[in-house]
Amino acid sequence: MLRMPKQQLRQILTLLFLLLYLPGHSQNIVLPDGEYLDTTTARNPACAKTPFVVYFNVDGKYPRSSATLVEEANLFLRGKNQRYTGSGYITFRFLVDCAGYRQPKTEVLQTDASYQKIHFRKELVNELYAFLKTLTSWQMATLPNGASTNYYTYLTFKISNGKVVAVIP
Amino acid sequence: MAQLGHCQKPVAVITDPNCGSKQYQDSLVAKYLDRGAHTISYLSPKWALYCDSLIAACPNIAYAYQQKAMPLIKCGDYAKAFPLVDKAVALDANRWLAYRGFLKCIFTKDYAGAIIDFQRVAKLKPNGREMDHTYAFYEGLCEMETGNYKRAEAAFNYDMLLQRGTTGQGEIHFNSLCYAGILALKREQYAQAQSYLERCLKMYAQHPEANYYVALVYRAQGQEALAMQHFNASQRALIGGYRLNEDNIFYANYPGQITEYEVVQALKQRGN
Repeated sequence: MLRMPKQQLRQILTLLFLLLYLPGHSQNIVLPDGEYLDTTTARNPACAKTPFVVYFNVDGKYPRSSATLVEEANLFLRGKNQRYTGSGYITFRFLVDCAGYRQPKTEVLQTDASYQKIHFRKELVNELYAFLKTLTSWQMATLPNGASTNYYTYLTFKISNGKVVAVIP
Repeated sequence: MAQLGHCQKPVAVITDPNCGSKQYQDSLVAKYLDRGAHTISYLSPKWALYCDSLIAACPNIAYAYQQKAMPLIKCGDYAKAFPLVDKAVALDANRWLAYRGFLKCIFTKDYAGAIIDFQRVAKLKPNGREMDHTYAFYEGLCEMETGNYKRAEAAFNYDMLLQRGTTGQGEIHFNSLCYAGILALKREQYAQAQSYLERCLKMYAQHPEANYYVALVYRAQGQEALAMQHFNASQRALIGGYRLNEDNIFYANYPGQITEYEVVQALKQRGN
C-alpha cells in the first residue's frame, strides 16, 4: 500500500477543506457582458421562434405586490437561520420564456445604497437567488397582435442591514 | 435587457466653445437625439452611442446624461444609471433634481434620498411638478413609507393645498386622495380614510387600490358586506386592466400598489 507523508496528507486535507468550504464564498461567473449566477441557456423549443421583448412592453412585472414579495423574501431568509449583513441593491436579470418559465441564465448586479458597485456576502446573494427560484407565477406574455413572446425582466432586492426592505419593480 | 450592458463610457473631449450657447446645444440635441436616438428603441445599444456622441460634442448638456440613464434605470442597472443622473443634476439641478428624487422614490425606494432631493428642488421651484405631481406628493409617499405618518400627513395636505391653487377650486388628483386615504388607514383614522378613498372612487370608480384599501377600512370597522363589495370591485378592475394610472407603473410598483393576488388573499380572509 502506498504510504503518504504526513505533511502531504495535511496539504491534501487542507485543499479538500478549502474546496468544500470555498463555494460559498467563490466568485460568480464573470463574462464580458456581466456577472452571472447561472449561464445555462435552456430554451423551450416552443418559444424558439417567438420574439424577445422587455417586461414593461407586456405588463410583465411579477404578479405580487412589492410588500408581499418583501414579506415572503424575509420569511424565506429567516428560515435559513443565518445572519446577513450589508445594505444596498441585489438585482437578478433573466428571461421568462413564452410559456411563462423563468430561464436559468441569470445575471446579478450588486451595489451599495449609493449605487456604487460592491459584492454582498455570497450567502445572501445565493439565498435570494434560491428565493427567486421559488417564484413560479411569472406571466405568459402576449404582444398586441396576440402572439406569445419571451421577455427579459429583473427583480431587485433592496437590502438594509441584511434585511429585505423593498422589492423592485 | 441583456444588450443594455454594453453602454460605452463618454469619450474624453475637447470642449467646443459653442457649447455654452443654448441654440448650439439645441441643434446638437436635434441632431443626436431627435433625429438619432429617438428614431430607434431605447433598448437598442445604439441609443447609448447617440447619447455618447452628444456628450462627446458638448459634455455640458444635462439632457444627454438623463437620456442615457433612462433605459438603464428601467432595467435595474443602478450602478450605471445613477452616476449619469447625478451628472445631469450637477449640470442642471433646476430641471433634473426632481426627476432624481422621483427615481429614488418610485424606482429604488431610497426614501431618505428622495426627500432630500425634493426638499432641495422645492426651494428652487416652489410650485414645480414632476410626473404630474407636486414635490409634496412624493415627499408624502416617502414619509409614509418610512413610517413618519405625521410628516406624511403634512406633506399630503400641502400637496392638496397646492392643487387647489389660489382660487381654492383646483381639482385634487385622485391618487392624492387615494394616498391620503391609505395614510389615514395606516393611522387607524377610519372615518378620514373612508372619506378620502370614497372621494377618490367618485373620480375613478375602478381604481383598484382605492377599492382595495376602502375595503380594508370597512373590514376594520366590521362592515364585511361593504368590504367584500369593494374587494370584488378591486378584483374586477384589475382583471379588466385598470391600474392606478401613473405613467411609470409599467416600470415600477408605486407604494401600496397591489395585484390581484393580494385581493384574492383578502377575499379568503372573509369572516376571519
